[in-house]
Amino acid sequence: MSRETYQDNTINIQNVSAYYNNHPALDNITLSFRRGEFAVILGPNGSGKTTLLKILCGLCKFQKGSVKVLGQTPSSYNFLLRRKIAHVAQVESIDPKLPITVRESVATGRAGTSGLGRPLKKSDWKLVDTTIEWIGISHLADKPIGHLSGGERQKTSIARALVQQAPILLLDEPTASIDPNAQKDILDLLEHKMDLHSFTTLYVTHEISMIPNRCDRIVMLQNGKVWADGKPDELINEEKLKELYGGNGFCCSGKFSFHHTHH
Amino acid sequence: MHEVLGIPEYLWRPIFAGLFSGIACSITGVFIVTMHLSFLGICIAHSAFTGALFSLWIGWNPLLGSILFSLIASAIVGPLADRGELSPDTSTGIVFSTMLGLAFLFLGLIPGSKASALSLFWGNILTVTRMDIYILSGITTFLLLLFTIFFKEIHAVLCHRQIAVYVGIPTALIFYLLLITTGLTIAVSLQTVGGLLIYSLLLNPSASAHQLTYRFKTMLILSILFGITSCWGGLALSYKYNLPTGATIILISSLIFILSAIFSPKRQVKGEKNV
Ligand SMILES: Nc1ncnc2c1ncn2[C@@H]1O[C@H](COP(=O)(O)OP(=O)(O)OP(=O)(O)O)[C@@H](O)[C@H]1O
Ligand SMILES: [Mg+2]
Repeated sequence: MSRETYQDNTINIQNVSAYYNNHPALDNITLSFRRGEFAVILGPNGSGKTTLLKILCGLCKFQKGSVKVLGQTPSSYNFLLRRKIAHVAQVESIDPKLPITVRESVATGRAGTSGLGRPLKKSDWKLVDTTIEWIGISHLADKPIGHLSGGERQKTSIARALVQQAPILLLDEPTASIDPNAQKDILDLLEHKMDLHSFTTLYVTHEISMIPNRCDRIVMLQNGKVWADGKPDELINEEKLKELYGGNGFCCSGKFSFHHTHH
Repeated sequence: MHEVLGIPEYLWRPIFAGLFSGIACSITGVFIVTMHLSFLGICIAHSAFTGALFSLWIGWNPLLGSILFSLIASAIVGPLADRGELSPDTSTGIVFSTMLGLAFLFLGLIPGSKASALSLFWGNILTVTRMDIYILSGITTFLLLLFTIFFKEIHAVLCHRQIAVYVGIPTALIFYLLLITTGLTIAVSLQTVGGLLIYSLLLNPSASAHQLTYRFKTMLILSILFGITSCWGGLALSYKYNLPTGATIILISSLIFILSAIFSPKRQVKGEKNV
């Protein structure tokens, strides 16, 4: 994975527009991401964040422009390329009776990478078990996935995405229902894993007070357009956030971890 | 009466037919039940039946028509359900009713006695041929191999279909492989166990196993055991008390399901949630 060329690891989005029934969810977006970049994507509800990630993993069509991920366009993705894109979706519906445990569900993350028709190796299971422990769900490992709480399920999804060890990590509000302490732990973990694998990470969140220190770029979307794109210390401030989210600025009365670490 | 191992010789073929159909149908059933495709299974079974009638009309071997029609049904229903413009139930229902219409049409068109056509309803596990057994054992072996080799992929596709796509499993390939094998299993079993029996052999053992465990491997094994138990138990009952074999097999599989539902841990979970 570390041998990928610089070119292979970039995400290039050129003048992309995506419509749902004539309503533009993304409106002429141009963005590109370097290898190893950790970008946080912010924006109000309905601003197109999920649509953007879905386009990158080939789950959603776009009508205009061009997208290249690791040198390929989403319409030509095959399963081999998908192994290189790990994705935690915002909403995952799960049938509560499914015959699958947490550990097996996390191991699904290795199922592609380890090769078609080959059982998982000892090393794969070891990675699964360590990741489960890091994420803090070892005590749930043998529980059926349908018996988890919302936050526990999200932790399982994050663990699954991490064991995939893909060069690109797309996280769509992965910690939205996880309690604050566990969120902090998971963010620390992400940063830790980042150094190990130099993922390119796009991280969608509404938690402006919990933006990882490792974050080196903020992209703000509004009404399907890139409204701002820059360094966290330029963008994570009361003025900008008030403007981005609109309203009475209540959200910005708190403190931002970024603000603090940089002053 | 000539006996082998204390069992009359004429019962040996049904015993093997029961073994293989029991295994094949209950493995396929796990796919169908876990992915909530029961109606699709019934639709394919119906199409196989229609295909057999079609063969009787134009003078082919019924197996040929069954395979052809069940593959056609899988090829139509799978993608229709996948594309998601119609709900899977709706598209399956349309194919199902079309096949039903065709079945009546062919039934009317078959010249002469309809006895052979009607026997397709109940099958004739007591009169299976050596060839039937070979074909059944072939498809059973294929299914066992498929589930052994691609165990982790199949598990992922059955439980997390969307996630299986993200993590880079050739999900469509696996899904259609399973769907086609389902079509073949149903077509092949139709000859021996009959159109009506197939539903119960497909759904009851796997649905019972689904009630009892959250472990996929255990579910597969239980399902196979229930399938074989239903077939062999049904044969034994029908032999002992001179009852129609199809009926005893169905009833035993239903009994297993009722017991599983009563003792299901999943039922209690649901109860807790409803409180
Ligand atoms: N399947 C769909 N059909 C029609 N419109 C859709 C669909 N999915 C999203 N939209 C619309 O597209 C726009 C962008 O949606 P998207 O899910 O990308 O927003 P988001 O930024 O992820 O919001 P949130 O913060 O609520 O997750 C919204 O206006 C939404 O209503
Ligand atoms: Mg979203």
